[in-house]
Amino acid sequence: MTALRRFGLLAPLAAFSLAGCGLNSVPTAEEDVNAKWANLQADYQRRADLIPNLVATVKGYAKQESSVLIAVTQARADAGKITLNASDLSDPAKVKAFNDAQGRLTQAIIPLQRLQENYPDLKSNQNFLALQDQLEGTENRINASRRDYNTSVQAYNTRIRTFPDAIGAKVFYGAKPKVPFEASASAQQAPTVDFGNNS
Amino acid sequence: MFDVGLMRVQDRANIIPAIDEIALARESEALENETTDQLAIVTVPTLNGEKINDYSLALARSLRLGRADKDNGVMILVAPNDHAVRIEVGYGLENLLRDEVAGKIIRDMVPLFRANQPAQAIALGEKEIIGVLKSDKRRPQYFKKAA
Repeated sequence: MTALRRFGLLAPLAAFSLAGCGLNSVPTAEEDVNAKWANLQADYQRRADLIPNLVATVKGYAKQESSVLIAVTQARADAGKITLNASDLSDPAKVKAFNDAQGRLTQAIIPLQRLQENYPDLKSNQNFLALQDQLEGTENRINASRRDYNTSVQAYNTRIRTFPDAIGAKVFYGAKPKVPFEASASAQQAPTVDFGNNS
Repeated sequence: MFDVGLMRVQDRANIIPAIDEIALARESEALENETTDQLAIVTVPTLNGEKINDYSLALARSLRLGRADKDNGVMILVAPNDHAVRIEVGYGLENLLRDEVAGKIIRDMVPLFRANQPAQAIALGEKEIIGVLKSDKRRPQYFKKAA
């Protein structure tokens, strides 16, 4: 594919051939964006599925932390209200609303993940540890999927804006650039395992 | 790609005695012969300020761990100077080596790291991972030996 495109740049005539103007490559790039989006969406869904169990487990141990639990439950409900379809990925407002809601949930979860420091009983609760491992793993997957999605969006956006694919993108598909997911600076920090002073 | 014995254990932080490295590599090789899963052990002197999750995912991808069609690679990454350890699991093994299973293995390893026995900690982690990967005899690998 790239070889063809490179050739197309050298020979002006080839610019008129269908293969060189994005007829195939633009939908292919869009499919890749949609596939990466589906992965990211599945990760967000997995997180939403995990939270009620975790909240229920923590409730039994840390009643004083009800404000944390209420905030998490509320943020999860808010995030669940905002859906984003693959066809909305070119709409900056919709993407931002979805991303912001998920970002607030990420923030709300952080104190929940630190609770065990104050509640030794939680630390020895196998169910809690398992749920927390799953939640942390899911946060990692979300970050990885979001990066993969953004890379794919960047490739797609570059393709539909550069010659010769831009011709096909505009004429046949009316392709619009997709919006990447910006990660908030504070969402970057996830807890790491600390195994003391052994260096 | 990933068939050199030396590639299985990459002790860049130099915390594993050579004789233990060979033993770890042999275990990994035996695992691959039985299940086709590829297990790598990497230690690094520094994460260069990155989070271990990001570092380890990028590293596992660049090592091309696991067979392409199965994505059945596992990597133990130890960054002793950052006090961090992570088990990176390929998509193909996530149902077996689930988050909570990997988390428990790390919690089992941590006391040995704290006791300044990194080689023993890593050997224990490898042993537990192999135990989990061999535990599911319904996997297709046990019916049809891959070439």
